[in-house]
Amino acid sequence: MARKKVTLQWIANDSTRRATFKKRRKGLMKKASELATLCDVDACVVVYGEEESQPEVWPDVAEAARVLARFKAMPELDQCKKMMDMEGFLNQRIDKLKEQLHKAQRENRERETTLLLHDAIVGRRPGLAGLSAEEIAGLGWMVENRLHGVREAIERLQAAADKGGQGQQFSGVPPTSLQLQLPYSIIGPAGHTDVHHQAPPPHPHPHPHPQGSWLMEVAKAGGDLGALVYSGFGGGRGSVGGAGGTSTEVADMLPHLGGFGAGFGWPDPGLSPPFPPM
Amino acid sequence: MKPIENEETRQICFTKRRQSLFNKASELSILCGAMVGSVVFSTFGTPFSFGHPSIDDVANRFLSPPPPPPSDAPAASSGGGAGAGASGSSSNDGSCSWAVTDTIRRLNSEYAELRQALDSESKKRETLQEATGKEMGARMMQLLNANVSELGLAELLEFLECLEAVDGVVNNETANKTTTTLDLEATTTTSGGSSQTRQGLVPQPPMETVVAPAPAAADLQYQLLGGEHSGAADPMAFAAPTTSWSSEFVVDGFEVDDPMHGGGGGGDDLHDVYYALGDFPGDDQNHG
Repeated sequence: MARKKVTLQWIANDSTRRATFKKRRKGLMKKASELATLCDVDACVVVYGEEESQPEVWPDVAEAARVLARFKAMPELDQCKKMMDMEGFLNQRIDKLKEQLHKAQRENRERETTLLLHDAIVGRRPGLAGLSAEEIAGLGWMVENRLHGVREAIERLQAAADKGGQGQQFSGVPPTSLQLQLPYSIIGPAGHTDVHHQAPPPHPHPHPHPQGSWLMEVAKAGGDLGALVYSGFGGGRGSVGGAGGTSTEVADMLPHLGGFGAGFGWPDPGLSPPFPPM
Repeated sequence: MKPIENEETRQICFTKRRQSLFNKASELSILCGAMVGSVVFSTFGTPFSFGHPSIDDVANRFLSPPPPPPSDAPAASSGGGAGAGASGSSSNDGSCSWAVTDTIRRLNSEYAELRQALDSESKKRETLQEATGKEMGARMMQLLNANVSELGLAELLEFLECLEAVDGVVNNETANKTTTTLDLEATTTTSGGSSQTRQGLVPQPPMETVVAPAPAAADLQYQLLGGEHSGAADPMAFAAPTTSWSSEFVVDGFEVDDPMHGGGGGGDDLHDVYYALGDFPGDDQNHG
């Protein structure tokens, strides 16, 4: 383990640089060895010191020559596809770090706004004194988002409670449907993320034609009309069923992509080198 | 140490370790001014390579060391072969290092700055988490952090009242800020940013949002008009999922509701809708 963070720049002191070179070169060879052994792949490393004419090679000169010859024998396109030089590598690393920074900043902004919201609710900031326009806008956005989520949950609970009388059901449906349109037009995409996560569409009935039951399903789904319409009419007509299936696949793609992102921590570098070989 | 047997695990290990290997190689190059080249073939035969100055330079130098560069020919004639070779290598190495160092130094500085910014964000997060922890005893903070779907009806109603109160205050403050010309500009900029943020979070739901409510509106109107229009309601309802022209759909819906278009007129409108949709999957079936 390194005692302290090493400044990543050329070491001016000759003896220190030479010692570091020997140490790190050995470590590099070891890393290559582990990679080749664990993953059962061909690999080679060639290192020329600053004033050396003979390189240090892993695994050995003959094997490295074979690997490099195999690399050279491949088509130019295949060679360049995954080729990286120092600038490309550093740029890629910088992009990754920028992404992490952006994510951390967003999370911190959300936590800050949550704290502000709590202060506002308990009355520590009467009239939101001392906040900038940007902070107020962020707070307003979060309040709208939270309001949407809470209203959705309340409607779901009330719809479940109103399963009893027919008359009650009929009178309850129109206000629900009318209300649902307004929040959708106000709340942005993030709100709908919550919707999809919290209220997955229920399995539709095989007979969607009775209007009363169809409207009740709309109320149950909490306003997710698209899924109900696709699924319901898919059963009735074969040609529309295909479109419904496509929509379902598209909808299902989002969580899969999310899962893929989480599982595959190191995506393949598709970065093409800025300087193609001569 | 032996090869990993599980295919998926081995692939993941390969990706991670390859990245780490290249990282170590780049550090060695930067710290010690060394010329480094590394090539790794995946199990599927894909070549991954890293090189400084470039893998081609390293490979060419390694694969064919004997002939010295043509520019050093006079030096070779004047001195010994070994000496000439060393001189040539040193000259090349120095030249390459000098050429790339400025850009690499700039990139390294940028990387260091980003890392410092990330560290400060981490410290800020710890501060915020500490503040949140202090407030966790209060009921409101528990409601704020709880999952909405886990709360009961009474809690939801209480939460709703508090949020609506804050929403009113926020709207008042926003209105006050908007009256000032200078703040108006700032608010507009902030709103733009918020819109971009929303768009960036989830790009697809807006499409469903725009399309989904229309059938409900049309259907409600049909219900109000009576049972005789229920037959016409179905085509309009299932036409919605396959079209992205929501405004056009809404307009057509209103046309169909117009009493002036009776039974015969209704047929013409339906035909126009299908024609406008172009290659509608159920076109033949509906005409039949």
